[in-house]
Amino acid sequence: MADVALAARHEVPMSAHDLFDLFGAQAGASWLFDARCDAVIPGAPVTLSVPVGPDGGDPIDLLGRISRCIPGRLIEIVHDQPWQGVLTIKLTAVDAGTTRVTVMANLDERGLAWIMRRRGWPHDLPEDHSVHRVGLLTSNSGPGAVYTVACEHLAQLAVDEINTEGGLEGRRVELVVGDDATDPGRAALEARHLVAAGCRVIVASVTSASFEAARRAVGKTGIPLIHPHVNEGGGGGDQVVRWGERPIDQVRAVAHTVMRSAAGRRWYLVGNNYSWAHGAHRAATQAIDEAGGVVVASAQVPLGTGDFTAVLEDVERSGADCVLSCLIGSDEVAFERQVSEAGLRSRWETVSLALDESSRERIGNEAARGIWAVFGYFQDLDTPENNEFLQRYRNRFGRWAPPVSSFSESMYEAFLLYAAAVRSSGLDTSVTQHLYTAHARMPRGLVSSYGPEALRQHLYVARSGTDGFRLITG
Amino acid sequence: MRSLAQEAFDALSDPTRRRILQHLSEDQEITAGDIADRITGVGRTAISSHLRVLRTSGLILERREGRYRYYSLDPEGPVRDALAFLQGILGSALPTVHEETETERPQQTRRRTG
Repeated sequence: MADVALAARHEVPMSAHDLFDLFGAQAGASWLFDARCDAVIPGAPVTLSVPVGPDGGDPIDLLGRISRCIPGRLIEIVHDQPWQGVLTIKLTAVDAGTTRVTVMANLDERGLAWIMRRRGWPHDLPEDHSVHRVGLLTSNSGPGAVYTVACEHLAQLAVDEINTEGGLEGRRVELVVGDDATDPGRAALEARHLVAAGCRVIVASVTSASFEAARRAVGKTGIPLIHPHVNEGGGGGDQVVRWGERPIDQVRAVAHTVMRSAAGRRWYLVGNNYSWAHGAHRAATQAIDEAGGVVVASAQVPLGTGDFTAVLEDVERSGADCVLSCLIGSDEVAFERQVSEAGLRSRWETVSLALDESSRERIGNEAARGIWAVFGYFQDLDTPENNEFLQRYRNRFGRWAPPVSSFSESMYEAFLLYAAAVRSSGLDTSVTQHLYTAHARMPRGLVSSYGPEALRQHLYVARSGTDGFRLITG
Repeated sequence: MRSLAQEAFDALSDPTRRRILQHLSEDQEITAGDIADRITGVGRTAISSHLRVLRTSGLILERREGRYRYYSLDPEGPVRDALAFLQGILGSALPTVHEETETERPQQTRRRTG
């Protein structure tokens, strides 16, 4: 990866080993040294709260993992959000009690573009008719950044494969990415930018609230707008396509098993306060009722919630046997860690409708143990097509690239299905009509679209185990 | 057509252009001839084309006076702003060691809340 590098250097009155131990100790040393990680070893996920606002406020989470580590000498972090790059900390002993610390940041062109945009500079990409542009609207920042972490990689993998097969309409396909910062207002703005840049399709890996804002902004511009991952349905038609797992199917697939495991049928529902979680709670109430369970209480919290003390007290008071979480991204991570820290993990069974591989690893193996998840795809799916797909992903993005999930795999699928629709469309059939009837074998298995709002796919039930998801059914 | 970030990235990726930027950061404003004198092993024509790339990508400013052209870093350009912003973040990444942290051993248990 060609990149630019910036560095800062400073001498600190501490030994190199004491300084190394300070990393991740939450001692208030600096945003970098106060990294949140469960272990300082290669492969361990790391979250860094980078102060970007005036006076050090308004932090954004930089999500990465430790890629190299030499005690007392070096820590290297490869990060994927909000931009892709590498942070290196080098420690050099000057004398027994003094260490020279060098922090180096490497970033590529997209990283530079992200920072320029976040600083408020205009980022209009001039139209280029020599390429076939496709847009990815995703959340590189904000609470959603945790579950979208591999989406850009998977979109790029699909684009690479489409280009290997000759591109589209005789042109090379180029991916353009917009970051909604998990905010609907920003989603509308970024969607307009993608259209202005000449994108012929927008595939969205954003919350339903952001997707709705994008639909209102660009839904009538004539280009397909696809929401391929978990959503509550509705809003499809014309150029708008909504695929992905639906809450009612997810809960129906797991409700009986979970109540049997809990030896109880009282449910507590917790979710973020926006359209998907509202729809999911309604659907879950119906599915739980069908399965003979009863919802005893529920709570909805704003996106970006980090303290769940009051919710946990409420769950305990309710005497629930099962908890259904419709929290997303960093909220889900914070909630599940707090359940575990409070010693409540075995008090009830937990089903989470948006707990993907990336959220799971940031909760941690121990803290996430036993949580139930239902998706049409898990990275641990042991099928020849998935194993081959994962090998291509690792070959392209390396061993430290984030885990693949149903969210990110669905981005790969959507771009391939779009390419197939473009190739099949002609004078009398539109790309959208082909998207309505798209079907193909994908890493998750056979998928078939029917109409603008549904995708047939097999659902798998899994439980979080010692180092990933253990598939229970399927 | 390329975006400003793409152009800036290309501009920054070249070692000669990075050397030019380094010299410009040390002096407020210098002529193309001064830059060529300081960067050995690169011809004047090549220096001129490097300066043109840096100017079109929004990194430097050009001022003409008589037969001379003077160059300086664009203090308000988007690329300078983005890099200065990242440099500021890196500056605050270095540990500040207080009395307490010097004497108190860091905790061995790692905690994070996502």
